[in-house]
Amino acid sequence: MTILNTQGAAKQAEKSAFPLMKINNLPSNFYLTKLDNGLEVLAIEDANVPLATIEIVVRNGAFVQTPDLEGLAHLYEHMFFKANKDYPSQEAFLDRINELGIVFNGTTSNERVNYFVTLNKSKTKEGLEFINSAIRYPKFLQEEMKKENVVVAGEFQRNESNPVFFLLRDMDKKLWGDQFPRKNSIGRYEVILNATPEIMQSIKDRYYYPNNSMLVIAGDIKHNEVFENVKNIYGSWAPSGFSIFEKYPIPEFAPLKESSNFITENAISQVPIVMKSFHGPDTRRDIASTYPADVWSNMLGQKNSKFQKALLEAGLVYQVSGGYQTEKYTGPIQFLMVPNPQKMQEAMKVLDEEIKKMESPDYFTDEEIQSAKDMIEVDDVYGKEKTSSYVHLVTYWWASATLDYYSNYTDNIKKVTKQDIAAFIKKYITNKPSVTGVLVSPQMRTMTKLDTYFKAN
Amino acid sequence: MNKNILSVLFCLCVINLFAQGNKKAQTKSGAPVSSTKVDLTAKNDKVNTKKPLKPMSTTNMSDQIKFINVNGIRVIIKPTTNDVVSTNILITGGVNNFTMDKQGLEGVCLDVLLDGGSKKYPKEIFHKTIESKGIGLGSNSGFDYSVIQLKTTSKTFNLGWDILSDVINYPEWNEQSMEQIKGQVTSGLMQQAQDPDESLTELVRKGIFTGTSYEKNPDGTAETVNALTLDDCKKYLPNITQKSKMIIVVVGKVTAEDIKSKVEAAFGALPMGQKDVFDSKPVAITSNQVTIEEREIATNYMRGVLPAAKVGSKESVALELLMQYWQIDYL
Repeated sequence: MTILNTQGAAKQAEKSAFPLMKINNLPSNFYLTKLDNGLEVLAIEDANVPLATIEIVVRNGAFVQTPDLEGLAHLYEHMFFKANKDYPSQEAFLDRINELGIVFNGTTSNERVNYFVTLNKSKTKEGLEFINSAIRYPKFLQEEMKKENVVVAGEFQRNESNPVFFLLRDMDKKLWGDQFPRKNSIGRYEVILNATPEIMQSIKDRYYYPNNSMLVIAGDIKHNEVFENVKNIYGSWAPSGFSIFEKYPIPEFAPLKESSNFITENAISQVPIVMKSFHGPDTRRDIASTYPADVWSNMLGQKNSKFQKALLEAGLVYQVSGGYQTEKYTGPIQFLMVPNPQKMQEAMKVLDEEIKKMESPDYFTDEEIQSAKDMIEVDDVYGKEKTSSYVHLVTYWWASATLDYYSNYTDNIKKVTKQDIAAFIKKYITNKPSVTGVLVSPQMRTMTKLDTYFKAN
Repeated sequence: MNKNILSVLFCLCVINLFAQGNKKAQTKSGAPVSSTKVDLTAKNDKVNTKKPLKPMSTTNMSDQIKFINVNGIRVIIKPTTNDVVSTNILITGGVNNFTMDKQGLEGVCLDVLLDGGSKKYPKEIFHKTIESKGIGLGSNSGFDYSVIQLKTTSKTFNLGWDILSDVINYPEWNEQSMEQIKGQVTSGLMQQAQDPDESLTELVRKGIFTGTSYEKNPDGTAETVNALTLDDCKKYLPNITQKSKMIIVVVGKVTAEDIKSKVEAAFGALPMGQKDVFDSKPVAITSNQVTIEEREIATNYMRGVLPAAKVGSKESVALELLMQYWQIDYL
């Protein structure tokens, strides 16, 4: 393995008994290695509190879902917390959690599934063993699956109990077309309720391998000791033996052909909400645009920006924001607005006008651009403050980009120019097809005379 | 209360939305799980205890924390090696500080205070400065206290402190800020009303606290908030910025001596004020009550409430353990 070429890295290399992976600008308390089976292992030393957080992240999530698997990446995540070879029932699993004093959870998103525990630092090795049992040897017991299908369906229903869910779902359907399942973590009822242990096993056999995962151990730990334990516990985990995303390729999202509008009418909705989305860049095909996209996103939120003044300060809206979501497979660019219902037509008109004005290189000042860069840099410092949360950020970047992207991120942000921002806007926003949606109650729809100025198509 | 509607959306949204002001969801740093792009599908969020793990040994922890009194103001300092300095100014009293017809006043007052700038930092410069330096300044109001939060790096702490103390001592009350914030708060209240979890909490609160100070909603109601004026805020602030009502907590790369001199310089001249006097009437649930609100939604929500042991009593510790046991073993 090549040694990192900074002074801090040289220090790291001297102290580490394991070969470290080469990534420029990796923070000095990060130690990254890889086992022979392809499992990447990241140790983050932070002795501020006597705890350790262990997270295992898998390249899985909505993005792998064909329609018949819609929602099952999430159901699978639930089954992680059930019976396995070493804890053959959920009761045994929970007993062990009690013994170790673990706080645990997992999440499923578009491009990542992660499982994490936080526990006292003295139990780090036991925590590693615990996760190993769950990730490698789930049992998918029929009776547990039957119960969990209902739990997951219940989570779905909780989301459905808030009208905003329907706006977001309608937006995603329009934005992603036939590939909507690959952006729909929550899934579909019929798929969830009919899932079987065999289907869970098939997901495991496709994606749950060390060469498709990263293990992060963060907190009051010593990296050499952790690496030694990980090697002993996870070293026997067999790799896939095939290229996962060659065997199960992810199709590209078809570009929008034309702009469209929709109205989500919901009787429970109390305030109108307007959303407008475009297809943005992604980290495989246009990584360079993701940096100006982020600077641009930050500028839109600045209180003194033309954007906020034209909408918020003018009293047309209560809230307005815009931004880009970094993803590996077409990240969306989205504007979100809570208009003053009395001024909704004008708010929508001004939103479109401001988006149009962004084409001009003078729309954003040099000062705003510099402020955005500075704020992003400071946000990075804030992000690192709490290790148990910070870990999730790191694994997000690993899944949706790379650790290299993350470690060089602020340096690349600092290099963004006005021309870069103009180029990003021209490429992804100016005269590009978009989807605009409005969430409104029937009464509000009538009161605002929405249909006179906004036609669903 | 979070007037920011985007925090409601964050519970559902699979995209990265960028909040304003001090709930900035940031860009990359704030990405997915925590507050921005939130996975729709977080498992076990009910099972997962919200209590922090207790460290094995507290000896070192308590040695680090310093409790001092600066000219009548209670100050708690925890020096750390992190590059982030978090400062909380707690204002005690909560809903006890205002009357029923002024529900929401404290929250609105603090929001307007932190939006309008100050004598030294007029509004536009105020926002430009805090944004360009990445200084987080915000507030939150609850039943028992409010908190003004300042978040800086160790490099920007002095500047952030200077801004904060100027805003509290020499606020510029801005009518446009007032109207904007009132609109945001009432919009936020309506958003809460459509969220079943929030609505259920409110239903329970009204059911058990009628006749007590907790009957007041720290967020206010649409009616009470709409009726508030800038003059209300101007007159209200001196009532809460009194030494007896303030507790200042600082965690970060700081020294006790520095914090002591900062607190003295910034707030030493504030009046001492009176100790809070609380409504001592206990909550009495003397009979079973069932309240039902019908709503056309996919899930039924239920909550049961019973009286608990007094906080700090021996029984309260036993009750906490019992609740933990039930959470882990019965879910």
